[in-house]
Amino acid sequence: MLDQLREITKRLASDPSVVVSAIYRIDGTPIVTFIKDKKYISILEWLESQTKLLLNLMAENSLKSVDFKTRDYVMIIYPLSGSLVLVVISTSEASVYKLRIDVESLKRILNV
Amino acid sequence: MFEVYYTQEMEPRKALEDIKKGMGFEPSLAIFFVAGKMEKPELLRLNCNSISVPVEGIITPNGVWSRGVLALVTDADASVRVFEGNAKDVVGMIERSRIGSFNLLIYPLFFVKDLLTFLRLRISFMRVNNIEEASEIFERVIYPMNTILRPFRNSEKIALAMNIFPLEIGIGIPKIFLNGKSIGRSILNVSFEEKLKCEFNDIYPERGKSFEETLEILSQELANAERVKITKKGLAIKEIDEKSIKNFLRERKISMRTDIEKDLTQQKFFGATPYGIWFVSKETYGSASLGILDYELKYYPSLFNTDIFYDEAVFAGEFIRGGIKRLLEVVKKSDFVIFDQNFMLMFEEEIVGIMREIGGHGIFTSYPSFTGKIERKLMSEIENDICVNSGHTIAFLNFK
Repeated sequence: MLDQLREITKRLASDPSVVVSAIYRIDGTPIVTFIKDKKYISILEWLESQTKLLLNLMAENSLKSVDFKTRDYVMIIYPLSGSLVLVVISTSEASVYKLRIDVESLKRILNV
Repeated sequence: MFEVYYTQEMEPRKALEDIKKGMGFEPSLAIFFVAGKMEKPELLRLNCNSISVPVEGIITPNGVWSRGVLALVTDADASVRVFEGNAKDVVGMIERSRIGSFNLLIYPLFFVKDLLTFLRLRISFMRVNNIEEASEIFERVIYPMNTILRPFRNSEKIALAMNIFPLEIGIGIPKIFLNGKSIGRSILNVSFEEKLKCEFNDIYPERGKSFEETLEILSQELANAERVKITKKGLAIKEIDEKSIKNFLRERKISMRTDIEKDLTQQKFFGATPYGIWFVSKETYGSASLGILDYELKYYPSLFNTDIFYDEAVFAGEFIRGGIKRLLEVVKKSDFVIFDQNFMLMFEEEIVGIMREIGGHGIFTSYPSFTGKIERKLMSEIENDICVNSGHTIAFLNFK
């Protein structure tokens, strides 16, 4: 299972525009984190502080996915299963719809 | 024999290695569909005619991918010809050439070679005094989708066209390569002696039997449809209801883009819009749509020749009644599919489930067009046996 989750983060991170790909438990505990540079840790910390409520909403199935957009980054929070959430941070030049399609394909292929 | 291979590798040499690993025969032709940014896609070559084409997405039996290379290889009897020049010259050349039973056309729908060419066009465009001159200028950068298919229709051959128009367009984009060399502004014809099984479809309802009936069908199908009068000629559109396109959209509080020059030179021209004009054909009562943006242009370019259409048309917002279910109704199991890239924008990750229904491989690219025998009364059939639309079209190919 952990290998499958690592594969998801690794394959997403092979996209040059993706700077962070991470998988969290729905309670906010990080499981796998792939960060291209330590400068992105602060963005990840900010995102973690914002997401507790969102993760609860996702756990209750009332929220499907969430995007944050800043001037420089796009952040996607996407549920992989009832207990796991994927976080992808990419530079603002990335196409969000394409990232979503890749994530959904990976989710299905790895049968998480 | 036809085989398809997919690799996620974005380094061309490594991608080739991956593809060669599974290959069980010596191909006579290889077409590499490249999704995502790749440095030097011209290096994707085998010991045969090798074509490299940019696409927006790749379909495999496992999912949909925005990055990677899909290689379609065959040992079938196929020739590759390049036709260079403006649409009129190219059509003449195709008419004089030997055409096989099935033809796959690959070409840039819109192409400006370099900044100098762009500046020259800009100067010519500023001096334009009438719509005929504007259409002639557009002919220097656009291959009209319907015009290009006519020589194939007239000689009763099948042709499927990939009108490459990436979502992000700039000067010198798209880059299509044949055997390592850029084709620039040319048309590639991959001509097969054998007839391939190809089914073309769109996701509109069938067209009406009269102008009024088709307009009624479109009005019910689209969002906020309104009948408008278009001033047009050839590839140029001057006005909608006697207003410039920009003013027409602004009156409806639609504001999207402002500076076409900046967008093109910075590769930020986005080749999709949710608003368009749906024209109705005088010949078949079929319809083709043209997306419109609110750039400040004296004349607006069309991606197909508009002379075959009535002056009265429908302006509307893009909408698929029934949503993704409508797409599911037309999707069928196939070896290879070519899907309009707009479906990716519309349905985002929902598209992945649909694509798994196909069972084979395919690509998302700009709206394929087609000439051949068509059994249904397709909305996109705008000339007899010619189907064109700048959205919502699909081609299914089977190799057995």
